[in-house]
Amino acid sequence: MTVEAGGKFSVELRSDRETAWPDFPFSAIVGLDDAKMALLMHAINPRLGGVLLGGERGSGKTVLVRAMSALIADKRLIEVPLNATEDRVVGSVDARAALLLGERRLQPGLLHEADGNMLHLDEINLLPESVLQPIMEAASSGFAAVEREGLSVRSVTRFLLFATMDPEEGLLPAAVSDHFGLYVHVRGERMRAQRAEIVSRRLAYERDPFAFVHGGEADTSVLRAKLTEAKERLSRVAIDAEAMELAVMIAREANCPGHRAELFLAEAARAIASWKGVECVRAEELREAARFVLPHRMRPGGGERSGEHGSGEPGDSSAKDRQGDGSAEPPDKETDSGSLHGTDSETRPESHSDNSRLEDCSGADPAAEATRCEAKEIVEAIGGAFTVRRLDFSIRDRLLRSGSGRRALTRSDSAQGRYVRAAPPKGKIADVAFDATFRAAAPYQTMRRHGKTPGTAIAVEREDLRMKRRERRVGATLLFVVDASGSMAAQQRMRAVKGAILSLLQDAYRKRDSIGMVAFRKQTAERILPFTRSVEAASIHLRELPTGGKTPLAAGLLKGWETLQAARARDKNIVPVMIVVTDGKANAGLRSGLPDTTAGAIWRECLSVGEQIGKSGIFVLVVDTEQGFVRLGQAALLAEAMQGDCCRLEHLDESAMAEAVRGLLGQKYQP
Amino acid sequence: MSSMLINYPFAAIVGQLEMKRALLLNAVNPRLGGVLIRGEKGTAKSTAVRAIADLVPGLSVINLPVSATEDRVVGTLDIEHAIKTGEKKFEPGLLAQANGNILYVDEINLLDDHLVDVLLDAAAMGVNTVEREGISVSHPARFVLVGTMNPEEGDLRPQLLDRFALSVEVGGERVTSERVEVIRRRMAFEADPEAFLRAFADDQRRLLERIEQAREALPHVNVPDRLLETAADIGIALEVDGHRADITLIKTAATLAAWDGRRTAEQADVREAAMLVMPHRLRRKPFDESGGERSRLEQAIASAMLGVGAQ
Repeated sequence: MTVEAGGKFSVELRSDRETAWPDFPFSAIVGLDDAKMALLMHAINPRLGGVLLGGERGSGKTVLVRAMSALIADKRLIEVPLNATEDRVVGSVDARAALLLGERRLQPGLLHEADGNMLHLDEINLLPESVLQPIMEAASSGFAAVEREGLSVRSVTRFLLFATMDPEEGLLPAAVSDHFGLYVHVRGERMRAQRAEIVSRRLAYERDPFAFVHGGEADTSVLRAKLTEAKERLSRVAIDAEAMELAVMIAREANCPGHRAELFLAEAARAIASWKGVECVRAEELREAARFVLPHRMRPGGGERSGEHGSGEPGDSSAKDRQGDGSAEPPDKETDSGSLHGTDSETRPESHSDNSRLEDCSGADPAAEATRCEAKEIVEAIGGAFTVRRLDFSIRDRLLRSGSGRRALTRSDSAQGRYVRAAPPKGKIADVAFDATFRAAAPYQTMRRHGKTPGTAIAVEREDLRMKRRERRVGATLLFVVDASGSMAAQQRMRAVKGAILSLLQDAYRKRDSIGMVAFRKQTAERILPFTRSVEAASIHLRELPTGGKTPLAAGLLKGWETLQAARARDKNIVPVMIVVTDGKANAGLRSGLPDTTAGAIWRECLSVGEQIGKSGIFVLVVDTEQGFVRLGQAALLAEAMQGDCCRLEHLDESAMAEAVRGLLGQKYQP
Repeated sequence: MSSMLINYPFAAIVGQLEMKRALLLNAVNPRLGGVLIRGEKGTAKSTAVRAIADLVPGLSVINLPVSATEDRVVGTLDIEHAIKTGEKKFEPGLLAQANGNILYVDEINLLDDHLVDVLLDAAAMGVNTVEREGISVSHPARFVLVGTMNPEEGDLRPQLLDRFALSVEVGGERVTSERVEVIRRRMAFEADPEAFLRAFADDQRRLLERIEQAREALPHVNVPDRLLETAADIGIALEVDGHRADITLIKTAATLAAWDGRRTAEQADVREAAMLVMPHRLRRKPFDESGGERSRLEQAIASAMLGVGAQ
C-alpha cells in the first residue's frame, strides 16, 4: 500500500504480513543444518515448547525461521515486532463493536491469531517484559487469558514457537529460555566455498526473487512432503522404558533442573525418529536429541567435571576466547539460590544426586551402570563442545546471594521511551493513551448518550483516562574508584582495572553505559578518566597510571561520590554505580594534620563516608584485593557500610575484574 | 523543506572524497544499505546529505531527530479520526515518509535503544510492521539510512553498525589550500546562492548524468565467481560476524564498476569496496590503540586478497 506524504490511509485488520518479496527458500539456505533440524523437529512435534536460535548477527537465523512459512501449508507465521504493545499482543476490547452495538467484544490479539499457526519472536531478548511475559505464559499454558477493560475471556491457543536472538545484545532470563525445548547456536559460515555460495545465492535472489523462489520449488516440495509424512508418523513413534531411563540419566548427568529436560529429550528423540522414518526411539536418537535439548539448560555439577573446557566447536582452532565464549554461551541463568553451582570453583559443586558422579562404571547393576555410562558420555560430548564461563560462577554466586534486589530502573517519566502498556493515571495527566482510553469509554456510550452535548462523538469520563507507560533501557554510569597506593600490587591493580574498563567498553550490550575512573594515593584522589563510552578515549586517558604512596581511602570515596552526584545532576535518569577496588587498609585521612590520625579514626572516617554513599542510592561493588595469609577483611566491612556487594579477587586479572562487574550489572537490571 | 531554501550544491563540496563517494554509491544503488559518517562537527556531513538529495530528482531527506518519540517514528493511531468517527486509522510516521528516500539520523549514537530497534527491524526487511494501540498494519519502509556520529562520544551497538553498508571517516581538511577553498566557496555561496549555483550547474548536470548512467548499467554488471571467493576470504580474514559484510562487499564492488562505466567488476573494485564496507565491522581487540587501524585494515585486505589466510 502506498502512503502519500502527509497522507492518511485507513486500515482494516490485516490478516497477513505484507512483503513485496517471497521468503528466501529453506532449501536454498546454505548450511545451518542443526538449526534447520531443530525447526523441522518442532514442526513435527509441537510438544517441544519452542526453538530458540541464538547467534551472531547476519548468520541467517531470521531468514531461516521465515522460510518455515512455505514449508507448512496450513500454518501462517505470525511476527511480533519490537514496537508491539501489550494490547495488540494479548487482545483488547473491540471499541467499534462497543460504540456501534453497545457490546463488549474481544478484539483478538496476536496470541489469538497465533492459534493453529506459528509465532515468531525475532530478537526475543529485546522484547519488553510486558509483551514477552503474556506470550510465554500462553505458550506454556496453551491458553490466552484476557482480563482487562471489562473483559474476561479465556481461549485456547496452540502454536509453534520460534525465537531468534543475538546473545551479544542481552541475555534471556532462565525462566524464558527454559521454556524452549530446543536451542541451537548459529554461527556464520567459515569455509570459503560455502561463504561465497551464500553471497551468490543472495545476489541471485535479490536480482529476481520470484524466479529464484520458483527455481527452488522442486526441492521445497520434496521437503514439504517429507515433513508432512513425519508429522503423520509421529503418533506411532514409541519410546520404551529403557530409552526413557537413558533420557532421565542424561538429564541427571547434565544436572538439569526439574523434569522438563527428560520430557523434552524424549519428545525430541521421537521427532528425530519420525523424521528418519523409524517408529521407535533408540539411544542414537536420544544422543542426537541431547545436542538440542541440553546446551541451554545444563549446568556444572552432576557427573560433569569443570575440567572439560572446549573453546568453541571442535576443529575451530582459531577461535579466540571471546568468540568461543560468545559462540556458546547459554542464556543467563537466574536460578533459585541454594541450587546454584557452589561457592568456590575449587570445591566439588553440589548436585542433585550423588549417584551420577561415579567415576568408574562397575557397580551392582550392570545394565543401569551401562546406561549411566552412556548418559555420561553423551553429556560430556556436549559439554566439551560448548564453553560455559566456569570461572565466573563463583563470583556471580556471591553477588546473586548478597541480593541488593532487582533494579527496575527502566521506567521513564518523559514521553521518551517505548510505549509498552496503558494504565490509569497517577497524578498529572499527560501522555494520554488514546486507544486505551477509547476502549475504556466505548462500552458506556449508549448510557452516556443522554448526557452528551450534541455533536459529541465519544463521551469520555475521567475514569476512562489511560496514560502511556513507557520504558527506556537506561545505561549505567560506572565509576571505578581505585586504590593506587603502595608498590607492586598497585601496578597490578591498575592494569587489571584498565583492562577491565576497556573490556567492558567493548561489550556489545553495554554500549549504553559510560565508565569513568578515580584513583586515590598519597593524600588525595584524582579523576583519571572522565565518563566516556568510547574505548579510544579510555585508552588515551588510561595510558599512564601513576602509583605509590599512602592510602587515602576516604578521599577516594568522597571524590567518587562527588563525581557521581555531578553526573546525576546532569541527568537524573542515570543508574549510578561505584566500583571500589581496594584492600581496605586506609592509612591517610581526609585532612592531614588532624590531631587524631590513628588508624582507627581514619577507618571510622572511611566508614562514615561510605555510609553516606550507601544511603544516596548509588549501587556499590567493592572488589577486595587483599592478599596474603592473614586477612583483615576490611573491604567487606566497607561494602557493608556502603550497602553494597563485595567480591574477592584472588588473582588480579582483568577478565576476572570485568566479569565481576558484568555479573553485578547483568544480574541486576537486564530486563 | 521550504522551496526558498537553496542548498549548497554537491559538486561544489571541497574534498571529502570518501564521503561523497559513499553517498553517490547509494544514489546509484538505493538498495546498497546506507552509510555511517563518523567525524567531528562542522565537516559538512548534513550539507552533503541534503546536497545529494537535491541533486537527484525525487529523492528527499527525512530527518529523524534524536529526540523523536516512538509514535512519530513508527506511526500511531490517528486520534482525531478515532474521536470523530470511532474508526481506527493509521497515522503514518517518519518511517513511512522515508520510504524511497533518505532517512537521516544525526548523532545516531545518541538515539534511544528502542528507536534503534525499530530502525533495525525496518532496515532489515524494508517493511515497517506496526502492532500497537489497536493498530495492525505493515507498510513498505525502504530507505537509505544515513547516520552521523562523533566517535569520541562512544560507538554504536554492533547490531546497528552491521546494518550500515558503508562507513566513512571525515575530518576537517588538513591541507591549508583546501581549507581556504572551503571557506572561499562557502562565503561565495552565502553572498549569492543563485550565482553560485549557476557556476556549478554544469558540474551538477554531469554528475547527475553519471549517476543515471550508472543506475542503468548496474543490473547488467557481471561479477565473476572469483570475486565472490575473494570477498569470502576477506570476511574470514577479518573475522566479521555473519554474512552481511560479504554480500555488501560484492554489491558495493558491482556498484563501483557501474559508477566507473564498466560491465565487469574487478579485484580492484573489491579492494576499494572493502575500505568502505569493513571498517565498522571489525572485531575490536582490547588494548588496540586506534589510528593504526586504517593501515592495518589495508594490509589485512591485501593479504586476504593474495590468498594468505584463505581456507
